[in-house]
Amino acid sequence: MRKQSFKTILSILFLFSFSLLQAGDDNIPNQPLPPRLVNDFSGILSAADASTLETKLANFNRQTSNQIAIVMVNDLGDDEISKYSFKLGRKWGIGQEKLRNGILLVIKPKTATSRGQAFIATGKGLEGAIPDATCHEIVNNELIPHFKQNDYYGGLNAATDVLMSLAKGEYDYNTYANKNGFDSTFLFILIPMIILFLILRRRNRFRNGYTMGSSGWFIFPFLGGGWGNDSSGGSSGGSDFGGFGGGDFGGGGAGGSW
Amino acid sequence: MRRGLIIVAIIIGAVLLFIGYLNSTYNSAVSLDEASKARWADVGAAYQRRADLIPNLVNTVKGAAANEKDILSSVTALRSGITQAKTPQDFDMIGKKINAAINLTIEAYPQIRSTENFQTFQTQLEGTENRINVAREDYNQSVNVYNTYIRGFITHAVLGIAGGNFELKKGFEAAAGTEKAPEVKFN
Repeated sequence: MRKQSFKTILSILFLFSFSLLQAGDDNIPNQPLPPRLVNDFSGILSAADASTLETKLANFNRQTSNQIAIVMVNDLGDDEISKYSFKLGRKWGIGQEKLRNGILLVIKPKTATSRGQAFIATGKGLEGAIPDATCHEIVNNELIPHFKQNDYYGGLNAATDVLMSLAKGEYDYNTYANKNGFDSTFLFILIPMIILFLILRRRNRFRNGYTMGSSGWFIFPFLGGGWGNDSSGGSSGGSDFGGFGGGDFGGGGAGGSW
Repeated sequence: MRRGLIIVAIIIGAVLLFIGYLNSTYNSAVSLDEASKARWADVGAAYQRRADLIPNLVNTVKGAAANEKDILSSVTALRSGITQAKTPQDFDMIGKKINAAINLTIEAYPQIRSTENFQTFQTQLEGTENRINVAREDYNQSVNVYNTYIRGFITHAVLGIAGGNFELKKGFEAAAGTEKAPEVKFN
């Protein structure tokens, strides 16, 4: 009992520290529900262009588990675009938690009074496949030339093509499945639980006919926890994006302005 | 007779619970301590990355300058400084030295600016700066969680009983409070 209440205190403490963290994130938008990979808060992309990009990136996520997200905003708050990108990437958790294979493109479109800025942030797991210098080249060779022509879709389309070909070499769905697959300790817990579950069920059948004892249900949260974040790896067609996987950003990436 | 037994059982139970509580408090403090040590190592790794840019920069221009040896031995000194850094101030100092060494290198090889790789170098320099900032913030956050935990009213007393050496840690201070590191000059 005492230990339990202690755990509650600890979790409150963690929540508190988390809320402290959040306090510095005022300028970072919350991720939309349902989650999307293409998030145009500036309203520049046409609906058709945004959904073409969304489908392309969602398919890429399904095939390789790499998550490339696009965020377009008019206001970065007080942060530099690099810091803004890392904060947003972490807050939304772009990329898979174990592979940390997220890529985030943040675009602040050019306006009459301010310069346009673009930044490509790479998740910790992709810093090797896509070094900062490469991000810098992609920004300068793919994004900015198109953006200067006011062709935001063209730039994003070209840049995501390059990023996809680079990220593909690093992780395909197999490496993801292997790395993310349940470790064997999980089986050691699961199998006895299934046996226990069956025994309990059988006993309850003898006792109460066919009603299942409530004690048998505790196994289900376990199942949910084990395979929960595989939803993005499913093979359900269409462009539905399963959600971000909890990836992490450590400062990789580069940007530019025009 | 039976009553006495119950009382003894309650006392034993209470003692066991207390030991369990002590144990879990102590373990939590240890794991938070270790977590912040790991973040500290990340800071070191980020600085290391920045220091390693200097030999890379020297390599882009193959022509040996008179003070090439001085420059590279200063990098060796920086590397050992990074592994020995104990306080955030140590890292602030190392950061300044690294930037000074980079400036020295650029001055020693004026032709460096015209090389094709110089652009890459600038990007890498920015990248290391970003990584240092992220690592410093992560360290501060882990220190914040750790300090909040060990200073808790009951936790503090319990950790005192359990023994062990849990001291408050110091985080990095904002740039405003510290002297600004010399900036890397490109022109």
